[in-house]
Amino acid sequence: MSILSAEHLDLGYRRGLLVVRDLALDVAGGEIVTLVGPNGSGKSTILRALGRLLRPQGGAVYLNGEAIHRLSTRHVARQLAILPQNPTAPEDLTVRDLVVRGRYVRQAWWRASSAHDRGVIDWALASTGLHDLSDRRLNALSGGERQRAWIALALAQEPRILLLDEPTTFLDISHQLDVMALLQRLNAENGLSIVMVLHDLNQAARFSHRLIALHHGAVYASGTPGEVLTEEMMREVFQVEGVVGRDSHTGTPTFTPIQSVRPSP
Amino acid sequence: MGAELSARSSRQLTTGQARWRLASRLLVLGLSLVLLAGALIYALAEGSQDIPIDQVVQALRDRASVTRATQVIIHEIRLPRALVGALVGMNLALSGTLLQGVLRSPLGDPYILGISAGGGLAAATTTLLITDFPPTAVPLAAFVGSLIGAVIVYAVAWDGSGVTTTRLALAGVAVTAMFTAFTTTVVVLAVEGGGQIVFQWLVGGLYTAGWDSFEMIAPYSLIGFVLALLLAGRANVLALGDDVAQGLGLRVEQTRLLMSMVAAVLAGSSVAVAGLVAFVGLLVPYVARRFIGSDFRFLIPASALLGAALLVAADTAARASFPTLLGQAGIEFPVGILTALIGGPLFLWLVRVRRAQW
Repeated sequence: MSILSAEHLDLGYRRGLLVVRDLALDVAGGEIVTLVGPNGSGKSTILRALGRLLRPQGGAVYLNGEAIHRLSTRHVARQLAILPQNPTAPEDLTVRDLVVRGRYVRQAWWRASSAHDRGVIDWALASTGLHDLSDRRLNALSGGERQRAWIALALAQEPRILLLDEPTTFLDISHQLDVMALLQRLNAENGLSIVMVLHDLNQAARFSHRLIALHHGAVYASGTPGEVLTEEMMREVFQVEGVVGRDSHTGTPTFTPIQSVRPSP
Repeated sequence: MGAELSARSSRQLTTGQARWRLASRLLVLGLSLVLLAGALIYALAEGSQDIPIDQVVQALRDRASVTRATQVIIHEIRLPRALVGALVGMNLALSGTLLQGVLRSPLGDPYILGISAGGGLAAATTTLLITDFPPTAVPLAAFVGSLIGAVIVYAVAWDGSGVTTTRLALAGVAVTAMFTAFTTTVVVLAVEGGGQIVFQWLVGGLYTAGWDSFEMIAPYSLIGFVLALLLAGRANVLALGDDVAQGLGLRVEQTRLLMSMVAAVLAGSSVAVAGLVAFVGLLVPYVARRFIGSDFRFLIPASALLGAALLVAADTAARASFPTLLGQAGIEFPVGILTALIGGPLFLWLVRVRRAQW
């Protein structure tokens, strides 16, 4: 059964100017779904709408079958966590200061933090490998450690769904792999459903159960990485000529680009 | 075994760091309290007639043990003025702290954002033009005026999708100029030869502060302080940015509105008793943040104490120490001149060097 879905979704930032038109998608519980598409295809816009940060101009997003914009901010935050692309925090914040704020929605303002709160915070720190760095300032961490701290913040919410917008974009390759392996582990061990936007197609194919390729604000293809990552899709959606192969290590499809076939202006 | 040992010692190290940070924050709060106490004693001792500190302490302990003249100077003149100054300073500093949280920028200050000027016009009008307006309701009128000022500035700065602090500051300058022109008109119409009173409203001063002013501001200071503390947790979440905050379950717009309203109550009530004292809301939170960090649960009490200490000390310097230094012992400078002298350069520096970032 789908945990998060969208029907007839129209999205845009100004009235009458739609970025996404009549979109439908759904995410099953325990799935890792990755949105791929060229710049301007509406990936981040869709992710924001799925996370209730953007109100649709038409259609609706459903969280466990209920229209998400009818639900309260607090209700949604207990089910779903979202990490935008480039989050910023006050410069003196430590990792623990940040992660503690993930408990905001679980705590009443008149009550001090409970043993359960502290347990969840310790778990979030431990499962992101940050326990020994918890009193470090965020700005003293490497890019990969900082990204893991933001993921720990989201985990402290105890969500069932995690939405991430390009979680690896500014990281070097080893930190990218760390973050992806962490997400894969959280999915496998805790049944966390993950919807994310990724630029690296080979990474998307390797770490996702399902890919959704977006083209001009509409779903071009949706399915397993093998079904979606095809030479034809790459040519039509990304306007790149190339060869689809198979990763000898993981068996997932890979794409090797040869040249852009974008018509010159 | 070795790894286990090193893991344990590193954990001890980290909890040690957290404990050290808490201790240093409490130390900053303690020192701020000492500064405030020092400022209050300075305010009670200094003046056209200097009173030795031991006499001040004695008078506070037991009114009857000092001469009648000392009693009057301390209990009827200097004490109410010092306490009003403390509350004005606290309110302005808290107002700035909240507004900086709302805007996520160090330029959040009721004076810069036209909030003080709106409150000033409302307070001047109700005090001077409406003859039987109850004095205790003047801060409420000032609160409404502050809100109107804030709404106008925000509407002018709004460009269809959001506001930038630069646009807010520009709009604030224009709105402040307009409101202070109206305020001057009101004062000139209502008071014959009211030069000193114009000063009071436009530059900000405690020239007329007595026990009646204290009764006027105290309830709003108390309410404002308690509400600010209750909003600290939400302000901490808001500090992570709108999208993250909303994702964490914070009602972002409602929180902004609440914080702005409390900031307007605080600024309005201080304008109602002391006029437009400049830049306290800019200066104090900026300094407090340097010492105690960005956590609003600590920043709010630290700003309150330091704001109170700053205004009491600055007012005493402006009314007693500076005139004596300049050989003009008979005259009195309004405190707003001093806060503008210190806060103005900081404002310019923040805009120029820090580009309005923290």
